[in-house]
Amino acid sequence: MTSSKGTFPTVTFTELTDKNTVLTKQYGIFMGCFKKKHPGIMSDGFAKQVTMQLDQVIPYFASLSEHQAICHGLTENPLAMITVKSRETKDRIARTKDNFIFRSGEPSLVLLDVDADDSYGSTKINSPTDLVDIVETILPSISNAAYMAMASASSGIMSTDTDELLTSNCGFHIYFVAQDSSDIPRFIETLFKKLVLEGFGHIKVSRSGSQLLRTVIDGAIKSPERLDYVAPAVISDGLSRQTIDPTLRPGGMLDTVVLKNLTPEEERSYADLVKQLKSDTKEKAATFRNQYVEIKSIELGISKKRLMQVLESADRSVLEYDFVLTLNDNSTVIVDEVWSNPRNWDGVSLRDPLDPDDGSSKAMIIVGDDHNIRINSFAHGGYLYKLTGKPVELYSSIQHTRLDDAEKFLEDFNKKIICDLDRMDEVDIL
Amino acid sequence: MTYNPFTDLSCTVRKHAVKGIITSTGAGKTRSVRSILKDIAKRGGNGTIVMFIADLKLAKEQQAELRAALPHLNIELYLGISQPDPTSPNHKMCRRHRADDLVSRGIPIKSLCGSKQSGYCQHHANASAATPCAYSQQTLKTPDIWICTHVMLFNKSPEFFGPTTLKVIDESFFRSAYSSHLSIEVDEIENKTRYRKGSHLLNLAYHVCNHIRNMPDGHLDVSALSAYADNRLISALDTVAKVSVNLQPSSTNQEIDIAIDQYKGSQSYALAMFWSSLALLARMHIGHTPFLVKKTDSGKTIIELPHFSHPHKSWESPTVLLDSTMPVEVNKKFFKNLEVDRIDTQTSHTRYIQITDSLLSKTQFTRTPSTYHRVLEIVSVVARQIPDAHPTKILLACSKTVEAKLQQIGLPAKCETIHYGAVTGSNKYSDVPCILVVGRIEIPIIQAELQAALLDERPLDVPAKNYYPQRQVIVKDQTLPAYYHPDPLTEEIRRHWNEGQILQAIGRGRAIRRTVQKPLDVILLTNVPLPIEEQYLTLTKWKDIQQTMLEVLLAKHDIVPLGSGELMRTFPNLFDTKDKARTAIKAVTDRYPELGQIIKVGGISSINIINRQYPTYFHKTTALIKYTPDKKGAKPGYALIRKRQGHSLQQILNELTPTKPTKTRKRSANNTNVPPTHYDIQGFIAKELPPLPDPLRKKQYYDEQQRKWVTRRNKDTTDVCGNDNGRVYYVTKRSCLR
Repeated sequence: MTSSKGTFPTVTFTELTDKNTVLTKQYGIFMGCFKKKHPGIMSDGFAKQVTMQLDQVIPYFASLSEHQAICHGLTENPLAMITVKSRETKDRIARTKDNFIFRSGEPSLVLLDVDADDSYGSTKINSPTDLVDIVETILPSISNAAYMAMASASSGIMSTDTDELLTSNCGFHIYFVAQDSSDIPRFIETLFKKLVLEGFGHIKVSRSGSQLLRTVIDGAIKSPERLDYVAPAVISDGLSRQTIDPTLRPGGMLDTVVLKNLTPEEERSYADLVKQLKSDTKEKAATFRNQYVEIKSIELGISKKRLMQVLESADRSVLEYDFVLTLNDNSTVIVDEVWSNPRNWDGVSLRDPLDPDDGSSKAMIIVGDDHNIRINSFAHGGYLYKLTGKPVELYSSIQHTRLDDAEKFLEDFNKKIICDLDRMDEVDIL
Repeated sequence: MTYNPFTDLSCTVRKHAVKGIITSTGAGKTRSVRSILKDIAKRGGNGTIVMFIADLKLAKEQQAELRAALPHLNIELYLGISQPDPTSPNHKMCRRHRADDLVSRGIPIKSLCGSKQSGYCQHHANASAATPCAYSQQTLKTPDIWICTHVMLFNKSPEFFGPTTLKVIDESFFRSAYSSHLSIEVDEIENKTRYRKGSHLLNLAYHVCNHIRNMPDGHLDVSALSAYADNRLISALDTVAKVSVNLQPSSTNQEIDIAIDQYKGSQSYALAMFWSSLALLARMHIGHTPFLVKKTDSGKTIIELPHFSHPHKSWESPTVLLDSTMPVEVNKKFFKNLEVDRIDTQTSHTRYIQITDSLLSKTQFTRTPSTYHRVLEIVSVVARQIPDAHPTKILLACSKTVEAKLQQIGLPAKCETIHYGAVTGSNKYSDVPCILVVGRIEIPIIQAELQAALLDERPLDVPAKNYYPQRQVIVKDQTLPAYYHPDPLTEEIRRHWNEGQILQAIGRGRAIRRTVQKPLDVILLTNVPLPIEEQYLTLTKWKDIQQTMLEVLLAKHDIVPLGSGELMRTFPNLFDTKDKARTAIKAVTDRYPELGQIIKVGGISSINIINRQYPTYFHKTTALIKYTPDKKGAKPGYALIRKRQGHSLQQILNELTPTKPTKTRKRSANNTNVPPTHYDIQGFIAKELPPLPDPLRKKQYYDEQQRKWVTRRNKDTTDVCGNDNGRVYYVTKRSCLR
């Protein structure tokens, strides 16, 4: 561990424990193949607020068990019982934005998550210092802020037999202490856009040919209720972990408010730049999409043309009725099933619709007050997808007759009226 | 089992038959009703036929049409006492002081008119006045058919109408039945002078009002109040004291003022309505009542009483409902024994073009004010297609707000407007060549749900939703997003305002009555799915239907050069840089790729460019010409040009620049009078047609009816095509350039 003498700010966050669920990543060798398992969903446990100095965080994280994780937001009470939303009671709360909040004016951990990305145009970040140097060009005051950096739980997994690196060792987390936690979501969003504007943005083309905007940090790590899997990964025999040493830099808190929002001109430039980046990777995306459609159309029994349409809609954040959603346990469900019974699906967490390989619990189904159903994906900057039900044929059965027939019909109608002039019907009234 | 006091009071009554017909607008339902009226009038009897029309303007139009169609019948329009006297515009139908105030407060005016026993008002036709009022003259009429507005259906039939033989209700009437203005102060409910002596209602009033005062504002909770809705309450409903107003034919203006002031405070109608609404709670046991809304205003507690009135029993007679967009379930709430027949008719000579990607809702206009200008460009281009001398205009249908804004910016002279909410019935636009429908209106979900709950006498869902859910509707193999409501009754109300108003607007063009010679184009600038025959519908995108800058300029000036230098010279204010000019030219050549190809290759004598994607009889044809400016060293250029009435193409071209012949032509000695040609026509930009048959061996004709090329000419063929050394061309016969 690289340590530095000096002052470190104090921070409070929430420790979560669920004895029945493994809340960290798991790696193992199964039938000679390297396998990874994403952390489970916390459904029954407790939350405890923890306060410490930033330099004490490293040994604290190392001491956490596989059934523990943290949240950067805080609950109303220092101790709380946690359950799922559908079973929420007065004494047992769910891990939602309503119950876990960033308190205004109070400090909180802010995480800059660097994921290894070898996509074309991505910026290679070798060390936490590299990232801090980049951010400093946008936010000079970050140079006075204390931080703690450590490898992410999934990085640097190696085979002990072959010494082969099975997961990239370039991913790491840098924790700062934000002065006003309520500004964190805005700060991360603005920083993401400014990094893109500074030329650190690139497009990652997913397996399904979707063009996903990325930069040197993950723009999705900004929710107070989000689980941060900080406990050491569980690795089986035959594997070892070789990661960078945790780093500490003394200093003060990070004043996120100093980072101003984008001006309208900057917003326009940002939009143009994103357009340009997408245009540059258009061909690659088309190739990937064709390959994906080729394979998936057989697998799902959907015509290639239709699958292509569905994916194009998904790119516009619309998931059509026959889009296949992947649940956390890798089982699948089509959008129409969710649409036909929305109440059963409200609040269910699942994998990212466009990038299911990214891990479980990356997205959540939300049924709105307006009856509309959406999926909020927290992966890679966050996306909101709108789900659409099976289209209805409202008017196709209407037969349009010739005008002559209509006139004849009206004549008959007239005759009926004349006949019925004296007819009386029995009507029930109150 | 829940006790329901209404069970004891339910009974069966005998009612006259009620028949409804839903047909496409213009199918002749009004005409067919004329024949019914004629037949019934022939039968004689002492009753009158009454026709209810949406508003007075349409009623006048209907009266004129009926009088023309049935000259042997006496057809009169009923005018209320507050209407202007048609024979003396400075007077109202009733000439008495504040007559309309009396009527609006529900004070019977009969006492002011007087009778044989009590004597007549000085303006009465039976009095010895020199000029009797128009209203009393109206009472003496005995027509075969009375025409009234929908509002009259909910009031007592005027006595001079006599019994009704048949009532015909044209278009949807339920809007006239809805009232949201009635209200009563809670203190007034407890006022004992408002009840007859010993009224059970007065005993209840104290408890009910206490409950209401302790409730939060908004629709009142049924569970707290339904206990009061019992048999005793229902049987005591007529114990609200009637306030009598002592007015005589000889009453002075001052006495009328006093009577109005006295009656103003009585609120007897509102009080009766309050107790009737409370009685209805017996049918509900949970939820919120739609009938009673509490509001606190400046310390006063007020109960608002939204309600639907029902047709007055004095109109009881056989009934015919005519409506092309009839909300059947809604109408059944007024006429329980309603039987409906439906027939949809082909519109073979109407072409629809609809955008699929934008609603052009009010929000879009607010967020992007430039949308007004984009719409106006489309309107201008379409309107400019009509030759100046032609009397016709195009029709624009939109919301009232959009209409006002477009009028403020400036609509072309060849465009008339109507707004949603006032689109029904009129035949005024049956000849328009084109209808543009811009955006749509939507009744707020909270209002639609309230009206459905009132009609169905059921509790209201609280809190109300903010938005309608959306679903995908298949239209011509595409899916369009559409708002809807899961409850069928609420959906009918929503549809009445949304799709219903658009269909009524389209219906003004009498699409089914169009012919080859008189086709109709409907441009739908909204993506609301509609029951349109798919074979005549073209779907497009909002971006694609918008006009390029050069198209707008062409519509305005009848000529636009296609060279960047010439464009800058001709329109220096619009194109101050070469880049701007090039972008504008690129936009038009991108839209019509054939145009670019012709310019590139040069001199192809045929073009099939879709200038307007919908064919009409009046279109001016556009040509692509090649010309050479009469300047030293000038290179030949291209321009789009349109024939203007009374002008030759050369004259229009001269407005752009002096030109010289594109190439030297030898003139024969016998043909010296032929003027030199200063341009070459490269081709025509014509209307959309299916691909020409290939190979084309002989002359072929375009059959509009079958929408295909045929070898034999018939009455439906309009265009001739042929070949010229293997290059295919066709010209539009009716609107060719020469």
